[in-house]
Amino acid sequence: MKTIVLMIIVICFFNLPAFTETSMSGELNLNVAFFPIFQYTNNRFDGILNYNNFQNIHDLNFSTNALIKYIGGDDKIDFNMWFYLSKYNIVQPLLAASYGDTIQTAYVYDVINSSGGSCDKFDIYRANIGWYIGNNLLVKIGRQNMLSGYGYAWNPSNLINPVKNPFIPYLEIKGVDALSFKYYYGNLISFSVTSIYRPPLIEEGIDFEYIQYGSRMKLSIPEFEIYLNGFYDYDRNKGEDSYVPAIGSGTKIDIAGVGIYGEGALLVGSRNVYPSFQIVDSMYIPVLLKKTDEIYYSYLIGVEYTFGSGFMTTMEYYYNGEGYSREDRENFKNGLDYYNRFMEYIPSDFIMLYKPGSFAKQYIFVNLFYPLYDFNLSFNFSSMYSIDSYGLNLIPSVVFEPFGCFAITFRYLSLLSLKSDEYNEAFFSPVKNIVRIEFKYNF
Amino acid sequence: MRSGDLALHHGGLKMKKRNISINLLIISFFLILPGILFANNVNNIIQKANNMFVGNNIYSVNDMTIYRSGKLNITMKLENFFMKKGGKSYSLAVYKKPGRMKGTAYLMIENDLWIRFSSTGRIRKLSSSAKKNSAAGTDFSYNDMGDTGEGPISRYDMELVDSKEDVNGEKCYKIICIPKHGEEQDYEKLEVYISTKEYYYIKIDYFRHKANIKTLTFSEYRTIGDKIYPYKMVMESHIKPTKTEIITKEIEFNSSRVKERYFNISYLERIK
Repeated sequence: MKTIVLMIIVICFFNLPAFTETSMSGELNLNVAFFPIFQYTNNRFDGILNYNNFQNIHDLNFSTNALIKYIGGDDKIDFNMWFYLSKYNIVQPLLAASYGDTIQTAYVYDVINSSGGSCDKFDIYRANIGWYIGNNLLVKIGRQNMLSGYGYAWNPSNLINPVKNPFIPYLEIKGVDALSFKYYYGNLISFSVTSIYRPPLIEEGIDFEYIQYGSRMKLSIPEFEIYLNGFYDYDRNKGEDSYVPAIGSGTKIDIAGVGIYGEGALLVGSRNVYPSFQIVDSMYIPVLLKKTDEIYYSYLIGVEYTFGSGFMTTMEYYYNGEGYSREDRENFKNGLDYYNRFMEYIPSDFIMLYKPGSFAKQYIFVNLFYPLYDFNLSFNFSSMYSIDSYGLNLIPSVVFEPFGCFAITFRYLSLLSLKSDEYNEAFFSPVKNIVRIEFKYNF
Repeated sequence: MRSGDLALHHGGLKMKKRNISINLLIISFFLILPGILFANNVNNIIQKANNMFVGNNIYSVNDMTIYRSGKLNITMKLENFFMKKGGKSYSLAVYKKPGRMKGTAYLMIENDLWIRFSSTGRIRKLSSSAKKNSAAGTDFSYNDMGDTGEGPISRYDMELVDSKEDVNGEKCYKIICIPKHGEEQDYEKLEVYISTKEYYYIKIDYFRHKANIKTLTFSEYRTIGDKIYPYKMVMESHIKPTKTEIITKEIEFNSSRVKERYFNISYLERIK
């Protein structure tokens, strides 16, 4: 699939400007993160999820990334290509690969020290061509956005797209390789069917077992919308990938200016893997379990309202059926203890169980936004509380836009654990307080 | 009194009653007539003013500049499309500049408003409470932006109160507009001033909570085809030191550039 995507890019980049209007735009980001820790010790960033500070956290961390968009088209055809450049932390995967080989490990540390622990990463976020047939039919092929749902922080009815970060929900996410057909009957009804291709990372060529199917139907009438999603995974080895057959639905209604929305999904099996353990020779060995036979459900209910002053508030309750129970979170903790103690590294697939904002089962989210246009400022305050794991995240931020193409964001993230021994996000995070300054330039 | 006299008396009474009834009718007619004439007159005035202003399939490119405390803050470039069909009004505004807003778009179909966010390409339908608020930090609300093409007072009942109001040396009709019965609007009252000579919109005062919160002025009228259009509109706030100026760079009525499929959520997905 990578070859096909690259072919689309080459074709578009060199040929389409001759036939259609094209443009290039994007954004450059420079982020500075500071982690206030009040006991300034040598191992101040070490933690259960950051053994020997393998995540390479410093007092002051810099990161840069760029998103470049090359787009174009006319009435009949359009194309989108988004390239994302960033830094990638190579410490953990290199250490994991060299585990047990002291000579290899020594080379790895040389690489880490010379590179600063990261390398440049190039990603293709979008690469698609769309054909508009008449006024009603759109056919699109390539890497495209499939995110759906009304929720601000979570979208449980999103069955196809990668899950967004609930702490930065407005951030772009890498698209999905798909062939989609969308039919629009005015603004009343839309219907789409999609064939998604999601192979294991290393393989080339196409195997039909990796093809998945999705569909969506949406009805829009004044002040009311409802949609239905479906997802089917043709997979002979059920459960090998992380996507499962599912249906989802969402609705939004406007009552007296208040937007009330909800969405949910029923899944045959969970997309998550769950930490568990085996006892081997009296030893606790962590394992990962894939649960494919049970029915899971998740749902979200939200309200939003904008006051006359411009003050906007959003509140959501999210039940994450695929989240971890207390027992699961304790297994995760025990697994990390095992890896830290006996192996001095943590496998990537175990680390990836830690998903802040989707770790536990129940969340309440509140977002308050107030624009102060007179001073080119806007204030935002987000709070996320996990009802079942007693974890609280507070995220105030201020955005200053002195010019039309430049913005500075001051953001503070605090992770708090309101109850001990619940193994929530705050418990595992190596840093509990993060101050970020983000510089963004749009071109 | 003799019976004949009584009959005459009764007949006289009847005649008197009839005369009174007719007189009352005539008097009522002349009392109502000014209202009828005025109602017809205000409708005529508005129609004449709107004829120059509004139309169908309108395409325009505007520079929208925000001034804060007298200083230029930001200039945005917008491409606008308007269509009226089947009794419904459709409007689409697409931001072309500055960079952080390029690709942001608003689609309004009657009371429904969708926003396309340029950063993610996602489309979201806004709750109706959001529509009364400032569009991109300007002195125009989303609803104000959606009224382009229909005229600024299309959703109000009107009453002519004066025909000799002086505005900047220009004799104007002063028309009071209040929301149509049963309809909720952003403003409790508008005071509209239309020149008596050319029937141009000169200014509109917007009222909320009995206070004049902002004023929209029209100027630089130019002929375009059979219409005369104000190429400059300035919305000035009276509650904060800001004003927003719209300069029309390009406008076409009955434009072939306005296509029905633009007023569709599917089109929002492909905006660049």
